[in-house]
Amino acid sequence: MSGIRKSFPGVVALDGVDIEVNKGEVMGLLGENGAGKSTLMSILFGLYNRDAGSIEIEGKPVTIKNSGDAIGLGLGMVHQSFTLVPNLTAMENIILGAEPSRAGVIDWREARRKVTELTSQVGLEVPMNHQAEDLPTGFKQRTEILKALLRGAKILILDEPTAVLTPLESEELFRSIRRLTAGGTTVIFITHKLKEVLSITNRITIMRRGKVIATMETKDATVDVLANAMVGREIERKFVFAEYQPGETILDIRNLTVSALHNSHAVDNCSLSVREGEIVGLAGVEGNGQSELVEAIMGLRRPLSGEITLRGKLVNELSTSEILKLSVGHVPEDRALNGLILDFSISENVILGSANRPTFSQRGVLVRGKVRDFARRVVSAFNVSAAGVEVKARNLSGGNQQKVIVGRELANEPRLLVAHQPTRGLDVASTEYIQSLLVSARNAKRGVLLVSADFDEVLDLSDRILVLYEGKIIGELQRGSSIGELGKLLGGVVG
Amino acid sequence: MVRVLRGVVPSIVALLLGLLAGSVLMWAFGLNPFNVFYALFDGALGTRYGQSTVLTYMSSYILLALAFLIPGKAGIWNVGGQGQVFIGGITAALVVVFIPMPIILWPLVAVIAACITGAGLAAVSGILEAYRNASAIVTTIMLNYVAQPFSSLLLYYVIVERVPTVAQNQYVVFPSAATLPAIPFFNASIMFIIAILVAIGAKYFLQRTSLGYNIRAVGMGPKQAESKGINPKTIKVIAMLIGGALAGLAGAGDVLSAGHGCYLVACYQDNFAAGWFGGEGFAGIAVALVAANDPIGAIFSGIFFSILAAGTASVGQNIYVVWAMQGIIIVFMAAPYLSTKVLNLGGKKRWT
Repeated sequence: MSGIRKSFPGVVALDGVDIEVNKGEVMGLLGENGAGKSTLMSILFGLYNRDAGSIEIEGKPVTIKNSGDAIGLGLGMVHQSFTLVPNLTAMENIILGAEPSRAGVIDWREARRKVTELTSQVGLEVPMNHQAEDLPTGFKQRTEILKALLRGAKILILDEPTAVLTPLESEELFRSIRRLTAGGTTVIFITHKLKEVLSITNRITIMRRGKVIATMETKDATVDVLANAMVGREIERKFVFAEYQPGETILDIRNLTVSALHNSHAVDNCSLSVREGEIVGLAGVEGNGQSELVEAIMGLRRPLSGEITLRGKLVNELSTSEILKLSVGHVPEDRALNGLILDFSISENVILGSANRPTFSQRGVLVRGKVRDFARRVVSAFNVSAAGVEVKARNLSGGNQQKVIVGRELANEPRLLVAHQPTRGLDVASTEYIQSLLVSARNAKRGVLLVSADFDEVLDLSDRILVLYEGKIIGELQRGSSIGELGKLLGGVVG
Repeated sequence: MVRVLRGVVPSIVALLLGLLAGSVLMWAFGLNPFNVFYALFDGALGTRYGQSTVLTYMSSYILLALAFLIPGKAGIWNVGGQGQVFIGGITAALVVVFIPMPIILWPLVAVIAACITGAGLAAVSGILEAYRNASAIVTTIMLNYVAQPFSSLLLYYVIVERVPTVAQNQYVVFPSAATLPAIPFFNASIMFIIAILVAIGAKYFLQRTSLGYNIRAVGMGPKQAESKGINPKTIKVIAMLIGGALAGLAGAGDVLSAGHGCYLVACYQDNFAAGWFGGEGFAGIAVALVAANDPIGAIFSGIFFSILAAGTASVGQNIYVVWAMQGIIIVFMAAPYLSTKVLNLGGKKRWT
């Protein structure tokens, strides 16, 4: 691809990008969120039209107007969010849209033969007769990969494939990728994780702000070199922790059991506590009961049994607004779904839940000046880069959206902050900034419950780490534990 | 300004496309579109009677559009404007018949009572949706079928018995002290002014008050609102109460507008404006959709719909073609995406 240029209203997403991918290699495309990696690949895959530039495959210039063209040219893409039909089996999903058929009737024997042939050829096994929704994430992803391969993909684009995987599943994925490239498939691996790109790729192209910054052989690259190229400045991944002197207990959970829709006990007899001036990391692979636990704390879900005590007050039966009034801040796990209203402006978002407070309203009417002042304070105090406080949340980058949420919660100086996946999907600089906010909240003697599936984050920030596995807390680690110790607990291995 | 224009353009485009399609339809039936349009607009705007009719329709259309769009902002569908208008109307009539009061107070109390019963009916659906998970779309429609005959029963067995009627029982005649004041020169009450003021008030309410803000927050992000301690259930019920009250107000307006000698019988017998989407309550939804759910927009689309409705009387036997055309316009207007796509205007989805 050469000279690729693409602008969206108000932004130049790609500014003359040239990249080259060799046959049979794993090419890492590294960059922060918003660097243009996904846009570039979407152009290659025909999802966007380019403004300028050209694409050649095997030396021949090609036109790609839509994803159909791209598939015809042997391209395949696996997106971050899967596109499987939940109630079809893996097999049905793989052949969907390319079903071998005779007189309009699906030829299942032929389909099975083709899929089996493919899986044994590339060595990717998937339980074919399970419904897609029942498959673990790693297998869902494999199904997506097989789907692309069945359509004759020779160049496979993987967009942040490990974002949803456990460390173990990531390892599996890497093994699959090696097997694929050994068979002649070319893989383009989009990521912003440095360690991954070093362990799986042959060459790395680093993008920043719509431009290619550098291309290098992986063997010549180090974490530092990559990190600097990616963020464009030295990143210091060290936070200043005040001496660990936890104060009184703010949150105390005893024998909590919470049920979920699908499995009976999402949280099973959990006990934990958070004190002033400490960050308690609750680590666990997603889906082990974190969401339900946090919802129970926030009054969004009623516990079956057990006690949740906030600052000495039993809150099991209190409403969310009563709990928030006990000086609790909550950074929910999904920015767009639970945190911000995307069609609201920044100033509308920062008063969410406080519109009735005398701080912002007089006799039921919002005082615009006060709302705007508060929004400006959040924007400036928490480094949100936005054209103004009337900008819609939708038009902010993920990092800035998250800063608005964290800012909203911290601006009220809560005694307890429950931060659920606060840096998921954020670029390096925003991640670091959000993490530093959590650390300074801790240093300011607030209690922080950090629920995260980013294990580096948990290890870096937490004073104590609790590991949640299948709804139970199966272990506690102190600061300074290694990722190995954590990894074992995460996988349910105790001792 | 640009933002305002961007909001209005798709509606204008839809209107023109609808008129064009209507013209083609007329032409296909061997009619001269210009003659039909002339008759239509002349009927609505060219005579004092037509103008009065426009003003009368307008008050109902605007209020019923608000009755739909305010709950809509909270994410709940009030398709029960029809039933709420009937309950409100009959409540106002009952107050007038049974509780004589001094001038001014009389219509005022009747109007307030109508708002309360309208709100009450809407609240039933609001509560069922919020706390019992029964879609308000379904329950409001069902309650229309309860409210309408119930009102007719009261009308024929309670009111007509006690109040003089004229023109072969077409109209009930209420004492003029109980009716809303008429405006000079026109055969219409001040109701349309009230409707416009309510629409402006609704805009202010939604944009500037805490409750209005919470309503919008719940509509646009129920999960986000809930996780910040706003109870979406309560807010939805409140929004339905407001919507129902406005529909009830429209009903009181129909009944107490002195200018029209109290529609009552005509209203319930002929369904107010028979053939027009099966009633004004449903017309309100169309008015709101065309207004892109904006209260100020509802004033203008209310006027437009009133002109169409008032003008149909004067197009003679071509009335069915005009109705068809009105339908087409609504389809175009309610589907802004379609019409902007046609002209590639890059309009945005307007439903919020």
